[in-house]
Amino acid sequence: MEETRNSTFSKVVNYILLIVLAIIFLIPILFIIMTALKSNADLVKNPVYAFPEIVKWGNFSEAWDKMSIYIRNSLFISVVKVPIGILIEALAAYALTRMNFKWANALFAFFLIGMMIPFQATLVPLNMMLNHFGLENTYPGIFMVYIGFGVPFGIMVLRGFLRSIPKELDESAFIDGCGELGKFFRIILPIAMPAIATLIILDFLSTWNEFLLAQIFITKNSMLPVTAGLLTFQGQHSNDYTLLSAGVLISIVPILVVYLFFQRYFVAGMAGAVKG
Amino acid sequence: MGKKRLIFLLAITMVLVVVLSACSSKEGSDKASSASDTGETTISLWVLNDQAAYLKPILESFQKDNPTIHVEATYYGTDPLKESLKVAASSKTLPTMWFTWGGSLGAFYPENGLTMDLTETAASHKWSDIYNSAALDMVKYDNKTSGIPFHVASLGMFYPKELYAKLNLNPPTSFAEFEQQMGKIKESGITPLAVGGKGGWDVMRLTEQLLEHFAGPELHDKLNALEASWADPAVEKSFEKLKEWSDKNYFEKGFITLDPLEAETPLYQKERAYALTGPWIDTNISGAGNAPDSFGVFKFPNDQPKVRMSSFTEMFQISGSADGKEQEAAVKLGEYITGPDIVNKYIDQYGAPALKEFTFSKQSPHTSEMAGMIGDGSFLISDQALPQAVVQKLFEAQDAVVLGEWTPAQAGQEIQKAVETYKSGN
Amino acid sequence: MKIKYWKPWTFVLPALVAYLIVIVAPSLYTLRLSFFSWNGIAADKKFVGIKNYTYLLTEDAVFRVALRNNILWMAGSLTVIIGLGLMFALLLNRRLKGRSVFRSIFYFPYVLSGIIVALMWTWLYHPTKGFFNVILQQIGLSQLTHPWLADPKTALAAVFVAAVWQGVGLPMVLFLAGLQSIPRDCYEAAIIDGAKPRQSFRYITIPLLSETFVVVFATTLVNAMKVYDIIYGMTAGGPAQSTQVLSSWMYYQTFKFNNIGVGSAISWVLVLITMIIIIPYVYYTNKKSHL
Repeated sequence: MEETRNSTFSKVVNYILLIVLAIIFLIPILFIIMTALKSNADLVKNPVYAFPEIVKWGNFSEAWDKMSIYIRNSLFISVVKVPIGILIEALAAYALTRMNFKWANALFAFFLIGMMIPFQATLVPLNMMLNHFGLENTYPGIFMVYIGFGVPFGIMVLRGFLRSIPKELDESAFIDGCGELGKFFRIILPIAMPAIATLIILDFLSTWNEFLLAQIFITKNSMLPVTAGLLTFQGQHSNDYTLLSAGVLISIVPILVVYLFFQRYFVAGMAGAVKG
Repeated sequence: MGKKRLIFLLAITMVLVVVLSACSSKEGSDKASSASDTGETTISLWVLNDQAAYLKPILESFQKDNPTIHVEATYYGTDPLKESLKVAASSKTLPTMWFTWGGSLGAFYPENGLTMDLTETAASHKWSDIYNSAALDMVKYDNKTSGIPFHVASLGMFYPKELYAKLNLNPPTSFAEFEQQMGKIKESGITPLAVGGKGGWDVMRLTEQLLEHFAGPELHDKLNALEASWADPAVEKSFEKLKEWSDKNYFEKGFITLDPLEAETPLYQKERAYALTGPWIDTNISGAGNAPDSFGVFKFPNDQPKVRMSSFTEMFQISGSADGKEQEAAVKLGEYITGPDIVNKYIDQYGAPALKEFTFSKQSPHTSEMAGMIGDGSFLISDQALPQAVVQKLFEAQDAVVLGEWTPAQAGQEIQKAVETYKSGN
Repeated sequence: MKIKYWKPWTFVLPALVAYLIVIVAPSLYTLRLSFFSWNGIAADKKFVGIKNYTYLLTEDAVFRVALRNNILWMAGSLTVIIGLGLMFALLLNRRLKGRSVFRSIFYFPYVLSGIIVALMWTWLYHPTKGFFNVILQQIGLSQLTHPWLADPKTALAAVFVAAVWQGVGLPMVLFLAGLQSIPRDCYEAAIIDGAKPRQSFRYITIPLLSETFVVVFATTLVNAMKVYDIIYGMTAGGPAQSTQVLSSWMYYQTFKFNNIGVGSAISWVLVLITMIIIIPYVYYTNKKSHL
């Protein structure tokens, strides 16, 4: 009796705490939504927390005119980069775990070092290199850079997963007469689908959100991804918070959609990935 | 279930991308095919966002007159443009033509061999008959003409006339009177000065006039030429005054990180009393729905016998590595934008052109008014007069003094240190 | 069952090439550049030995500020972000209706880019029209209104609050996964033995979460060293350089002031510090996976 009352009480406290925290967490987003729906005059005249006098959807269409191209660029970059990156990471992880590879551990350690190198330490030489091969302001150049930076993390995650697949499977496949590549595509890759799904989500996220590399390697406005593009947009409208807020919201929407659809992967993925 | 969902989303994104890129590649291929047919040239142009109001129609009419030239313009905020140009210079991805300021700001590109040498063009196109000589001098680096002069601007104090009438004020004739007015305006509940500290250059416009006031023209010029020490009492006094004004809340709360454009916006609505800026403000004022001639302008009263205004040139530079056809098209565009026909047509919004002669407009009263004011002479604006390393230190000093991190005396010493480092480096 | 010795190499090759080209070779070249004085464009680089490093350590006051800020950021992340993450995880580690909704709300900011978070929060902190100051004024605390991002004393903390909002979801999710892997019997046994909740937290939860703690510490520290987007987007290092961190100062030295040598030296300082943090972690996980 005593115990149940106690736990009901603590449950209520728990709820109240969670609700308060959730409200605090939502305030920034709500505030941006409210701002985006106002006209400039409304924003100047009335306090910021007041509801819009008249909902001004025009902010969104105006912001969309400028932001849509950046969103399209980001979508293009992510959709090409992520599968290619994961394929080459999976191939490497396969070799590191299932091919009796003498150098497997040493090579894995070598790949891991890459996780310590901040982007900053590579910017200038990469810039010179891209320039030398005429790859500056091209998507192939950006793909190469992004894929390279994705390698250490991707290999770490996939290696962890592939190690857990029992060896017996390989042997049966071998008896069935699969070559290594056949074994990789027909047996291992399908089994590794959960890990790959996770990695797709995480990789999509980090590609979509990347800013520093895009800032340096893409100087042509029509090619910018959404992060750097949003900053250009901000530079143009630094005195217009209603329009800016609409731009911010527009750039949040794609990620919100992906998030709502694949939440499970995000959460499970993050937890699984770092455990490796 | 999860797998199906994932495949579903992947399919959708694939379709989206195919559709989207199909759209874009159609544009691309259209362009490409017509390029091979007619010898079309595409040039990229980087300019400022607040020039868009007149540059957009100008570019349109240019392309109508020159159907084989396609101009891809990108509009930037002030500091983003400075930064993007620097980054693009380091990866040699500069656009075909770009807007830049004169002096040490624009010097970086010709000094590093990134710009097209326009000396011959200037001679054969008789620029000396078109542009005023001061402007032509200021686009020269190392005796080479490196830019097409665009604006020659000077800075004055803009104020809303209504507010002045309401408070019974007249444009101040002395520094003391100006300070008095600010006090009075503050008392009436209005923040006197519209100034934004982000990027440093807007506050600098005040700092340099304070220097002119306390140091006098001779010492001020020597400071800018790095011939006199910045660890000077006059410098100290200037920073002291800046701090005093800031402490008296003559600037908006938190102004030090405010974007200058944002800081200036309330002035267009007559909610500030002053902004130290140039005639391009007319565009912004009319954009905000007010008449430019409801604002007046006076020279910053620095109490010198000849009241000098700070002035500077703006120009277009052309990439030295662009191919000949693009350069040719860019020169054509640059001369078009800055030439008398276009200037006279768009003078209402254009700001102060770098031309020898042009017709003044009633719509844009301040361009002509300020052209008349500059008779007493001018000094080159600090961020173009000083080496950029010193400029950065000056900006840092302004922030640090206003925020109470450095004493005014320290500010002068720190700047002097930067000057010496710069000198020893050369 | 024989695999030719070169076969694994063909599988590893694409990843290895991308890795060598994009990360290994450039970072080594950056190390080389850090011993030169160069503006990034001119044809000639001048060898200056370790002068760039001595300049940073003895003359460049902003570098010291940046280093200090990185350390403060690390300390803040270790305590506040991890502490709140653990707290959120504990609150959510029960059978509650709407648990996944709460979890989604707390985790969502983590999936946003630093630039978006920066722009949102810059507006929230706006000195006159921003949410915080307006609310403070409304509830009669106008003496507490403050230009949060414009005062060097509060700017870094203000940016950090935004970073907490963004970052707390990650440790929360990791702790939650860790908590759920703790068998219920442990707690039941503890209750039978008469343990109070606090005791079972101290003697069961914490020790069994130790592996999660290691992961969380390592990721948090590395993220704190690399912090860039949110600072660049909110303050760009200002006011008066008071919020510079190593990453942003490297960017400014390299791309704004064209001191490639100094910028390269800063990025190698960054590499070295990150290595000091992460090597024990790699060592630990490797040892664990060999068991």
